Amino acid sequence: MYQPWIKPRQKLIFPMLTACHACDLLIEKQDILPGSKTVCPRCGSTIDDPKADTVNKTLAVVITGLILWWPANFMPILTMTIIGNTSDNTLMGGVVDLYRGGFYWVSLVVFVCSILAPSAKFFLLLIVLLHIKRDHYSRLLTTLFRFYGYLDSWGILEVYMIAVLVSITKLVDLAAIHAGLGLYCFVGLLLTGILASSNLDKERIWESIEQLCEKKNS
Amino acid sequence: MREEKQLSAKSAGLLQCLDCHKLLRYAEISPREKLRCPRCGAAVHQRRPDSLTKTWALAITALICLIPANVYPIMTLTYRGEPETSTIIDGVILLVKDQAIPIAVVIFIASIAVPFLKVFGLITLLLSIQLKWNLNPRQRTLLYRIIEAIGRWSMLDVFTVSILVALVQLGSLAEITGGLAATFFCAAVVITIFAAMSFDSRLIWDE
Repeated sequence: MYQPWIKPRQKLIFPMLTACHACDLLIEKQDILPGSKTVCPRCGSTIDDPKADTVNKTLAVVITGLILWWPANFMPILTMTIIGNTSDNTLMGGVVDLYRGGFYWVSLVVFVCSILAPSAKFFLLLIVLLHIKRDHYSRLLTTLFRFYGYLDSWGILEVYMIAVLVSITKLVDLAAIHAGLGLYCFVGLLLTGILASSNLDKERIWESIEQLCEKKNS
Repeated sequence: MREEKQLSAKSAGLLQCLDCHKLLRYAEISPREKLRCPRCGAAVHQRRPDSLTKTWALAITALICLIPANVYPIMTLTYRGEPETSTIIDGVILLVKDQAIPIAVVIFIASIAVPFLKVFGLITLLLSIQLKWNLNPRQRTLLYRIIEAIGRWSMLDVFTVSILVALVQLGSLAEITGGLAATFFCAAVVITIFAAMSFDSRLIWDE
């Protein structure tokens, strides 16, 4: 029976090995086709999930996202009308109003989670993927792609989307609520963000960066 | 039986970079010395340094922040000159009264159930490692992954406040301002996210 984990006395062939990032089990590296994935036999975490044509597909989605970036952040998301008086909100407006109200820390967190991290993820991906596509090495590439990993847990547009729905429910008895152009672009940005991360194959990108570095040094 | 034959990277003298997942040979240096991953430049450790201590500190801090977050009002609605403050749980009760049950359930889960369950889940993981509880490590890893994945949803209430504060600004007619609980709640959510990040799940499998 084939056992993917390594037995203690087996000779260790180092480049053929990888470890599970969740439980540290040594596993033989396997070349698998896109569409299938390697799962840790001990803890069940995903080890490798290769994606077909990851650079081109992700780049296409990232450029789409960047087109939607400006209207999603600065155009009105919701418009409210009470007895002829209207007011609207934008993604950025929420941050500014919290800051003006004295909620400095809350506004900082909302800014990072709803604007800075999602935008930075798009910009970082654009730079890294363009470098890989054009076979161009820069010393900053590793730092930039590492930062992309750190931002992953802070860019939470999908939560903001649900917050928009909750706000509509809360205000629907009080006033007339209309969706603005910003909301449609925001949904687009959210979807492109999800598509970008589901098409991104981090393992392959790291290998490409490593190859570019070796090519530069040789 | 089968478990004994499995070899971890640590016991083989190897270590994995947590940022780019490259497997590295462990040089014989003192554990406190800083090692950097040759591929991505991140600091690498066999196990995250002081992982359990940091996670304990952050989990307890988050638990303390959750008390004022639920006691103080999270926002004040002034409608036609009459101010009305509401706490997180008031918001849920109001939605139940308005027959918006699904939204009420979503808010209850995101802002009350998830933060508390997350902190208690982390404390369970910490105790299980420190007191060597005989729990299924695979299920504990799953628990950790769930904790990591659901934490972000607690930001729902903070985002809602940020939308409502910006949207409802009609002076004396209708105005919404944030409350003290927003700061504490936001702090609790951010601290629990950091607590989950500082926990090293590989410790579950170490003997």
